[in-house]
Amino acid sequence: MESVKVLALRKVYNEKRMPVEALQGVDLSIEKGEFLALVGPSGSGKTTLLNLIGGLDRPTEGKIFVEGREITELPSSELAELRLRRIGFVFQEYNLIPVLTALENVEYVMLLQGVKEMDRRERALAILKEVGLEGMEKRKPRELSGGQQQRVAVARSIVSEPAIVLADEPTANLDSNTGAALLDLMRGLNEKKGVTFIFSTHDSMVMERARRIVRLKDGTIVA
Amino acid sequence: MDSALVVMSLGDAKILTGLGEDVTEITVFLDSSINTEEVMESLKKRLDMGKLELVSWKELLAFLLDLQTFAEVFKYIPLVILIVVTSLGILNTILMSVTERTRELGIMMALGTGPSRIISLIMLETAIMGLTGIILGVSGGMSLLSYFSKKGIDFSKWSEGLRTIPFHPTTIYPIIEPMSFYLAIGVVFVSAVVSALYPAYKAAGLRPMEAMRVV
Repeated sequence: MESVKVLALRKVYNEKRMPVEALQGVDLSIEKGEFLALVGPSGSGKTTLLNLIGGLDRPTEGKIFVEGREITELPSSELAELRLRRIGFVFQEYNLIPVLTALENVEYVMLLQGVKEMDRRERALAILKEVGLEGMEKRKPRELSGGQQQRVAVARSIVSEPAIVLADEPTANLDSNTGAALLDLMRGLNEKKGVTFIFSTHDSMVMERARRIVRLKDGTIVA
Repeated sequence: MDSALVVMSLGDAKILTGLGEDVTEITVFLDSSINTEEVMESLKKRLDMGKLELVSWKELLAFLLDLQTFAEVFKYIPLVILIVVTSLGILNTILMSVTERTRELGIMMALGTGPSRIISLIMLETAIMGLTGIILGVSGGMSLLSYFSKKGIDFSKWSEGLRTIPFHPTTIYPIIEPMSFYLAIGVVFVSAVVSALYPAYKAAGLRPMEAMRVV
């Protein structure tokens, strides 16, 4: 089954004053369980494509299907529900909630999903240990380094075992050892649970590990 | 003795006025102004009304009655001010707290927090803040009130002005009517919740991508 499918996707920012065409007609089909890297120079539309697939933004034209369901016209409450239940995000700027500790940040999505407190805590502690943050559970994001924050963000995105994980430059701020460890963790989840991973990246290490590479340039797929 | 009042012995007064053993006026103090009419009626029946004149305070001091009506109307002015100040204060506070947390709210929405949950979050925050304010305000107000209801508020400095109302005490012991107490609490709570609606809906309408870009 197709996990994600986009048809003739166009996205124009700032349509009225200074139109910037971020995506100019992208067609892409991603099967369930793929481990895919979107590659291309900055400004090529990688982040835009990820945001559109995740329902964070709406396309100017074209259609997006997530697990066979068209999301282009969904109201924002249903998009939120879709993100909550099916999609995990790793953002370029980590985007952790500043007032919550690392542990609480990881627990937050499970809290929204209604996972019981004991279960929630146990899973959050286990995943933080797995990303190498044992002992830092009580720290707030600003008490963590960039790499540590990124690891919390990755932990948050996979802890509820979503069907699809969208990761925008997940290794950009990590040293190569930590980056490799995180990628192996995600790869393991991909192989064991069949979670679909879509990365945007510049990092050759990610590209080496990806099973499929899609190259973007100026808002179109070149390979 | 001053320019308005002379205190002298009864004997001297009788000589001065040439009244002999007669009196000109008997003033009756009642415990409460409510039963004035009743007392007047029963006095009328018992006294020889041909020689005497019976006058209530309402006729004698008509301006006091006006003053009372005036006070009744003026009671609502603080209430209107209360509504306006509470609403604007809460609106400003909640709007600020939403604006300051735009990025945070954007992250929460990106992770799948739905619009209705954002609205209930902000309404709940406002309700908690409102209740805290009410509890603080009521306890502060009640302790001030209980202090002054025992000790009284001393108006003797303004006795010059108060003299226009005969027998007015120079110390006033305030009381609060239960009605105005509940009214004030209700008004504060309702205007807080109502004024939080706009910021709450504004927050729920944020678009996650744009909100997350705000620093």
